Amino acid sequence: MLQLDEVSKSFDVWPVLDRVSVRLEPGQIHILRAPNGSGKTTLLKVMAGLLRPTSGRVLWRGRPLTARDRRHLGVVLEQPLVYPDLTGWENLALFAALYGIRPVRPRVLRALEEAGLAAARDVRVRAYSKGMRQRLAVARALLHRPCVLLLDEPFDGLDADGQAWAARAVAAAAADGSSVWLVTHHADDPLPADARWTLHRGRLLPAAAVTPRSPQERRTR
Amino acid sequence: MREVGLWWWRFAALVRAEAASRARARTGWIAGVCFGVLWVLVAGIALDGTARLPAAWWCGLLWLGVLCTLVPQWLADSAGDAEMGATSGLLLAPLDRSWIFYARWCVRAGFACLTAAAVAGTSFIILNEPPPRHPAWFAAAFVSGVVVLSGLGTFLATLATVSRSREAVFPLLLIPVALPVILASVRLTVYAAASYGRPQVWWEVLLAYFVLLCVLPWLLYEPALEE
Repeated sequence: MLQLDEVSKSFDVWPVLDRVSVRLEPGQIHILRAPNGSGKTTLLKVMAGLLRPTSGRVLWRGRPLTARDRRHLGVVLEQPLVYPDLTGWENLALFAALYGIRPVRPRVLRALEEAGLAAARDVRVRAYSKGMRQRLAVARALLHRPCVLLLDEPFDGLDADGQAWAARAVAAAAADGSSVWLVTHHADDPLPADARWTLHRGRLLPAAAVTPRSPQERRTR
Repeated sequence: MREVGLWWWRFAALVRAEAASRARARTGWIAGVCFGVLWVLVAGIALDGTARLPAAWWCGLLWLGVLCTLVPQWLADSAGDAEMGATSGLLLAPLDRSWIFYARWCVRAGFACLTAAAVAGTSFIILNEPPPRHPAWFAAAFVSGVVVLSGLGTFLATLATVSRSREAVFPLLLIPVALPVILASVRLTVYAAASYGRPQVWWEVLLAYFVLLCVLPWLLYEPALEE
């Protein structure tokens, strides 16, 4: 599905990514763990189409990623990517409309309930706690049932319940065939991984030999 | 046909969200009105407000007041965008990125007209300006100037968001690019206020900017908003 082909990215003359190639297949979970400042977020933004690679290509099903293809991506970044002065409901309704979801109401209601935000649906996001904002960010990324989930520290700021919900939701998406690219700094894997990666001097390298999950394991989650 | 309807539905959702967000985040437009009104007040005191000013002076001061109203709103919008990354969220959506600009322009032009009207009203009172000779012309020139200026500010502020030196890039771009629009707006309001000058060429300047603002984002935004 999503593929990076020899992608390099530099800011001015400072190289951050060096000839990164990776391919995300349906249902796979990839975990990237690397030191601060190694280019994890830059790589994720390149995958999401927010940053243009200095060289190389980002491909969707073998051709360059276009504006329309962005509907297949669900992204969580450091910020929640929402309007602070709109309510949780209004934000999700807006993104549901932008992703062409119809009817909006039942999908948004369900997303808010699953995220544990139903009681705060009419509260402005500005008044949300950090954990609530993160729940909303994950709910926004999952709202349109994307084929690829690009997640930058999605469990940060979440309490134990929130982490369990987010891990369940991401695992369920993977079980339904979504590929997951998860960036984390936690030592323990929050989800069973098909591949673990690290970044060293801009190169994407396998972190350790991991036994890929069998298709049966994927279905049972 | 259904596809076109879906696009308009998305655009309407974007306009609604921008309008609600802007109305609730009061800092930008309240600061804008305060700066504009204060500018007129200070200019009135400095120029001995009891004396009547020539129309060209009054219109020049009025448009500087309008600029004082708009600049804090543009800066507040940029700060608001950065706060929780709403713009990045929109950039990830599967729509042409220029639609973000068009929706913002619609909403911001509406707010800009309201706040600029407050400055114009104050300026009539403080600077003892009689009602314009051609009120309809005056209203048309005023609204057109504010709409084009607002589009220009939104266009440049959005482009500047992907620059790492945005604080310097925005004013450096804005002042030279906005100068013909301010000149045109001043000349058109002078004509409306005192039947002085030739308005035709200045309408053409505003129209040219309007057309450019309609076309350029569509051509530029998709590639330009990727860093």
